[in-house]
Amino acid sequence: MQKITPHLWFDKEAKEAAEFYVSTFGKGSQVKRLSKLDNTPSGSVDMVTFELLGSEFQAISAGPLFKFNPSVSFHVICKTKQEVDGIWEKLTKGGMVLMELGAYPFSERFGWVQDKYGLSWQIIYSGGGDVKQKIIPAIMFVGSVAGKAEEAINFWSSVFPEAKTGAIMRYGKGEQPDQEGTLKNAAFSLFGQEFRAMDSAHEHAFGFNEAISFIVDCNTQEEIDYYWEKLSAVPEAEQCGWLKDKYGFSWQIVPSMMDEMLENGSREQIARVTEAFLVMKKFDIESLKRAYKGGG
Amino acid sequence: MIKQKEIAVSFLHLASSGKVREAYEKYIHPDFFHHNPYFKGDRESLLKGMEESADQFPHKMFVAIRALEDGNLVAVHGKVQLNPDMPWIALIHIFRFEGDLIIEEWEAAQEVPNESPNENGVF
Repeated sequence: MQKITPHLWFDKEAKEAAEFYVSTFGKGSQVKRLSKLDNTPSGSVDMVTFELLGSEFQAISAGPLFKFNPSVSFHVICKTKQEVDGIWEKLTKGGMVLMELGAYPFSERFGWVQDKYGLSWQIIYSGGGDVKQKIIPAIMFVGSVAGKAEEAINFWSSVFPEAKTGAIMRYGKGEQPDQEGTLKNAAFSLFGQEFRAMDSAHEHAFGFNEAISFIVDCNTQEEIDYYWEKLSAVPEAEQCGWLKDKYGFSWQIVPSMMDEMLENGSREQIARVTEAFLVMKKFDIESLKRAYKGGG
Repeated sequence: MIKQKEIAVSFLHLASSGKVREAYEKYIHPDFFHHNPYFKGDRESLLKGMEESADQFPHKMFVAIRALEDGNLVAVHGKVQLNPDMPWIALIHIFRFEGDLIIEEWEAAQEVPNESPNENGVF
């Protein structure tokens, strides 16, 4: 499993959307697992694990609490212009174009679309170069955190292993409202996985929320404790393994065995684990295992 | 990319959940040998011993507290409880890897006393 996995919060459409994305991206894409959790505050919720072009995603249908917005989008790096056009055609159906498909200074063929579920994708022609990771999460710092992208990259790089900062492009003079020196686009990696970040000081009616969070897969309690202690900055956001860091960005700190429990557990076992984790803030492996096993 | 550290913890979780043979098939080298003093030193003997223990204690629970990696060696500090009404046992496992498979294993165990003068706890 990936160490960091994007997690998408849908109202009711997680399963349908996962299937739509799998059919849109084709090769290297599949629905890997479907499970159901009963008796959560959102009722029965569908959970889907799926893979798109080699990158793993998770999605949940948990009610109309949060809406996607372009503060987190996904770059799709294509080796050919034909690939760009094929994906563009499918994602724009019923969606909304944010930047029209065309030639831009940074890519000969590029478009930014919000699909019919509201999720944002930037389809980019690589110029023919080889692509190691085809889908890359892109994080845009707006509103009260505009201008903090570089600080956040440095902070996350100090928290996560295998961190590296790649190419950085900065805003220059006369690009107001963006301050000179803030990030126009920056590449970085955590756990060897690629990310992009940028600042935008323009007026945006959106910001980070729980609709898109990132799951950190942890093997030991010590790992869970470490990320929780380093990242959590908003006490009231702490719930069921979820936290918000000082930029308002949502993370989920989850033990690896959770996947296995939800995949292999009986209905009763899953119900007991669900009941146990719904009252937790930070996950406690021992209590989760105890709930799973029952008998004490 | 899966690290040896993660393989070691996954092995312990899987084996202690009762799926001993599956854990061996996935993570243990065919030429595996070990230093557990209660069994013969070969792969099959420890596997059988662990299977018997799994049958005897279906509610056994293992928790990995921390894992350390150094070259081809991984150490896992953990704790196990054979049954919910039994005391915890503190454990340290050390695994030597060949590629992605465990080829050699050492372990040390210490039962956690009910009462202890140490206010820091064992873990």
